[in-house]
Amino acid sequence: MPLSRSWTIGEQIASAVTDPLEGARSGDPESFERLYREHVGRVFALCLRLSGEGGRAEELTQDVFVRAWQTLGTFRAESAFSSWLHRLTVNVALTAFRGEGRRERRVRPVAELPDVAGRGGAGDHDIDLERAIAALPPGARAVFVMYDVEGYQHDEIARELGIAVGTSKAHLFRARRLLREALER
Amino acid sequence: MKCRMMDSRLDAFLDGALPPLERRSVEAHLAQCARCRAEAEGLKRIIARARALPPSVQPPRDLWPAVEAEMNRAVVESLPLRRDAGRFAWRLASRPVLAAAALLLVALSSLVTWNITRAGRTAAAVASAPLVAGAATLVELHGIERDYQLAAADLAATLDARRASLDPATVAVVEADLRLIDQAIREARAALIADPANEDLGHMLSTAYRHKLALLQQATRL
Amino acid sequence: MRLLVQTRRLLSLAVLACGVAAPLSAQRKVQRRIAVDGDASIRLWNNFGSIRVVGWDRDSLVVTATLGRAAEGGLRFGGQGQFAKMYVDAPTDGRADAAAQIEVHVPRRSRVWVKSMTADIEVVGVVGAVDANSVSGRMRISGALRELNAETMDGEVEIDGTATVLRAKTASGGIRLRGGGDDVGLTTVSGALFISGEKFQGARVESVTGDIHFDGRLDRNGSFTFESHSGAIDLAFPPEMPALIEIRSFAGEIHNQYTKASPTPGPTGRGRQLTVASELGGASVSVRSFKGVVTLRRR
Repeated sequence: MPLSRSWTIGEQIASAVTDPLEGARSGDPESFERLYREHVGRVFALCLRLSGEGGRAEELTQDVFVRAWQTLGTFRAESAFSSWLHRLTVNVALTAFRGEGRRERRVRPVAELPDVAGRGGAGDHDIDLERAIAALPPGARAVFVMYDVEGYQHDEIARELGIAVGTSKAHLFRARRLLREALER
Repeated sequence: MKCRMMDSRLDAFLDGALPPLERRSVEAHLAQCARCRAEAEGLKRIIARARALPPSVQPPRDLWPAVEAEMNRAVVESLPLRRDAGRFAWRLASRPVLAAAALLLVALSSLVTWNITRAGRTAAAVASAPLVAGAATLVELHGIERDYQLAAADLAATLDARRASLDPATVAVVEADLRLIDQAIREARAALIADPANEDLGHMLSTAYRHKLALLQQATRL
Repeated sequence: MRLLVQTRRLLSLAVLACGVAAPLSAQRKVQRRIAVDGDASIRLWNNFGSIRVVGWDRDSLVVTATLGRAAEGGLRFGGQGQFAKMYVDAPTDGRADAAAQIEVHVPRRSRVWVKSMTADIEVVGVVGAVDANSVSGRMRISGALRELNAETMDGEVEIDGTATVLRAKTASGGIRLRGGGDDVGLTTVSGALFISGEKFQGARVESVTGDIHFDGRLDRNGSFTFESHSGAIDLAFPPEMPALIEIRSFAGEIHNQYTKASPTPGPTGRGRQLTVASELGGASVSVRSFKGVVTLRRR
């Protein structure tokens, strides 16, 4: 049905789309790409620290965004998108961790960590700490990253990891001392 | 408080999680014990360094093309299976459906397909092939079918997660067509089991599975 | 559309009843122009109502729209030059007053991606590429395109024209293609497929239960496949069209009204098959059915 007669009653002020979230929810991949650019650093940092491995972190990051695209319809606008994405990242990273982590007790070679110097932060990025975290045993690493880096509480961590609260505290205890050992002595 | 009792309390103390009485006890000890004080300071430094880590780290390479490729998968030719143990890319089209050669006698488990119903996901047996003594059975068919079932279940799970945002009329269309495809799968499968060397039937069964996965995939992209 | 008309009628009745002047319209009109390159990529979406895309010779995107009251955010735009997009800021729960009737003029050679939920989609005069996606909107695309992809769940797809690469996919919607293409793929589960034309260089047509009707000509150098599980396959070719036609059906009948040959039992003794070969070789045509009736006849 053509609408060729032009009725200009009030012209819409069409600024460039400032909120990519609405575009992405409507199905626009370009808007979603903007969300990706905005949030990928955060997601990657979390995946990197939780997995301790650059290659794995890249895979996990991709998984997170693909899952986010697929389930964007369930996102309720009351909470912040970044929090929603953060929870999704933790969920994806720890699901992978749950499946594979228990077997891996070896200390990861430091070389596997991507060179993160100068990225993401202004000036000196604490590479030694990143490497030491990557070298932690998986359980201790997960709890340390979630508690001391990301600020979760033990009950939340216990729930996400499927462990007891006491175990979570024990992991944190161990992680902090192992890190201190690696970095200060 | 003695030094040996401190260690287990230091973390809780530093995290502000001790009840007031215990906290004062720890503070009192720290005031007059250099060793424990040094320990506490060391832990505090680690915690501070952790908090100071940049919240954001850019990946060394641009991951968007891979993400976009996943988003835009239009052809049901390769489907990564997401399982905890890791993923592997897996191709449908290049598999032969059936080997015409002699086959092993294997018990075929009943096959399950996920149906999306209003009451939630239920598993319905597509067909259970009875074990017929002396008949050659279909190892390859079983393996391929299992892969199809896994992929379909994977897609159905994704679709389930999005159901709330779909119009019920749309869900009804998807369900009705899934039932039609499932019936086609049952019929082709039964015919193939009765005539295992028939390549056309193998092709038709494979096509029916492909329709199912394509439909599920199309529905997940709504 | 029906709901909108009903709303208007109710409003008119209300006016008569109350003798009070109703607002001129519960809708707003909008127009917008954006400068874009001749081969720009353009993304459009409108979930409810209708969207008509017209290719023209100017390097600009011009949108004229009537928006329902619930589309309070109006039309949102972005981009210029190589890329532009437009969407309707409205709730996605299908309310009638979230509908928008939109007409968009785009450069003829642009690549157009258009998406809707129930809005009807029409595209005319675009020669670049069109990717149209809808849940249940009806699609009408016409012209000669380089690429066409049309996907819907239960909307109808009508294509009048050709595309070098042409794909149409539905779940239960029907597909009607009048024209042709070099590489054509039509897929449905339960929709009816009607294909006609003389410009087919290659095609794969598949259904599960939908009937397939072809009435046209196949290029002698092409490969063609028609497959259905239980839908009927009805093929009408010009007499003496150069082709090698192989029909295999497992449990359905094969009716040959094209030549005098009769079907014979299938390769393994089950089912039926029929091969029709012209002396001059020609198009390679493969027809497979599980239990649908296959009919081969003359145009």
